[in-house]
Amino acid sequence: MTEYIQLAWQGLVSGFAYALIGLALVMVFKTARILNFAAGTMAGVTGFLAHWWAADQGMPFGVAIVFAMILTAAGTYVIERLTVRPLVKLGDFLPIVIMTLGIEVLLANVSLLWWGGTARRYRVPGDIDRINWIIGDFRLNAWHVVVAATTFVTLSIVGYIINQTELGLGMKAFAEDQDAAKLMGVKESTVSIYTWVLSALVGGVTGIVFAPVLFLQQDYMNIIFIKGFVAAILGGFLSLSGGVAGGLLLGELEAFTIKWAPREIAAALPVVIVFIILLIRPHGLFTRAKQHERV
Amino acid sequence: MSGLEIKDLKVGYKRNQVIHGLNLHVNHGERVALLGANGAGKSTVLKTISGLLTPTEGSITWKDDEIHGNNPASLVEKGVVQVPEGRRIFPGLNVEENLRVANYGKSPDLLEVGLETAYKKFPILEERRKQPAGLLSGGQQQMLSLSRAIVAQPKLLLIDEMSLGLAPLLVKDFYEQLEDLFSNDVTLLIVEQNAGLALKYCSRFYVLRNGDLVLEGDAADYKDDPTSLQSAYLGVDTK
Repeated sequence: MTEYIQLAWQGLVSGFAYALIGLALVMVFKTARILNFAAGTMAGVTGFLAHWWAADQGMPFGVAIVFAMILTAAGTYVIERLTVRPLVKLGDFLPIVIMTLGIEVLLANVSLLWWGGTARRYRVPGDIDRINWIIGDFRLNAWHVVVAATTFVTLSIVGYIINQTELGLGMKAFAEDQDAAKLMGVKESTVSIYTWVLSALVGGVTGIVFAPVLFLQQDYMNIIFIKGFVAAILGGFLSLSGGVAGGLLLGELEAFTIKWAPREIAAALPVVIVFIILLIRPHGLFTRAKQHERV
Repeated sequence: MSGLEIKDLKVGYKRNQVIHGLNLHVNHGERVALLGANGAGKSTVLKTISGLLTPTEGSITWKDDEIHGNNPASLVEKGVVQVPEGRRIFPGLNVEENLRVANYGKSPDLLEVGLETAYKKFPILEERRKQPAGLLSGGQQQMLSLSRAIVAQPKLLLIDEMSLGLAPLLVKDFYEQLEDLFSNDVTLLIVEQNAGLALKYCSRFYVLRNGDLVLEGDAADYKDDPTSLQSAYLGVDTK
């Protein structure tokens, strides 16, 4: 029994990463109809900055996190204004997606230059990541608890912004019908910039809390990005909660396939399962096929 | 006081010109209909006034203020509000959220006033205020669409094809309600295919055909025989 709880917990922890990146992706896609291929690398840069400042530059961990988040917000602001906005005005989908790929390549190479290509493990204050509580046979890593708490807080904040603030209302309206939202006085450029920044901050949080879980390598967020992408697809790509649920589901699928499937195919199996799910429900698990329209 | 003034307006999508030099004016507080068949360019004119489209040439002024090229949000601030064709409610948002969007960027006090007026006029909306707007019937969605305009407190109201997809009796009802919903101070430009309805409600009209103005006049002259406008609509002599 404990073994299953252990697996479920492990699945949940990796699921948190996929859920958060899935959420970041869906957010931008839903409101701005843009697929941001740079989301993973952007998150990785935030994580790197925070841990580099803290471990190598001697900055207190909390301050380093705040600085990294501020820089992420500012950087995303510049990226959106300089590269995305001019292309949105031209109105084509593909050039923007290619632009985000370009940003991805640029950021990946800059961080490769800056931090080098070797993997290393950054220290967390108090070595929290090395504390393990043993409860019976169940092993609980203290940093994983931090990851869970951070995920919970992040999701709550995003939920609050979407559902309780005027900005969130504008984002939802914009996601439903861009022209109608504009006619109601919702400013496209404002919604777009806040969505991008919020998405980048969610990604940044993911990058920071998952760096100690994974070995910090210049491209450590790539694998999480791909799985976050799968999570978003699983959720239908248009539902925020769907993206989160898709991430958690994917995490669990992974954890349990490692237990039962031969090692060689364990990594691919969750993706196969996702394919099967999508064959049955092409529009994802959590969105309806088409908005029901009444005349 | 001057109202809406459109001069030599040319609008197009990419290389396709749709409006070829339109001249039109609506005086302050006046109610004017813009008529024409499907594809005549009526909606394009409204979208250009409300800022969704940018004209290639010509000017639009509202109260002596050049407004062409402004974005829709800043036009909403100036009181230029459009009720879009096909209602365009937000189906996934609930009824009240739909109305709150119409108050976007404005003071919450205005929202309270607007909500009260709208709910008093359409009690069914208050009853269903927490339900997704996509579940409303077509008529109720039109109520919601009009209620958004009430909340937005327009000075210039542009209504696009209210009759689209609604039962004729219901449409008649909505036109009658416009009287009480918006004071005489609100300038109205109504786009409509159904000339009979629009003429009853407006004082003047313009007929658009293939992007050109082919007829304008006083509603009173055609009120009793709106079918005589058909030749202007279609460009053929029906007599």
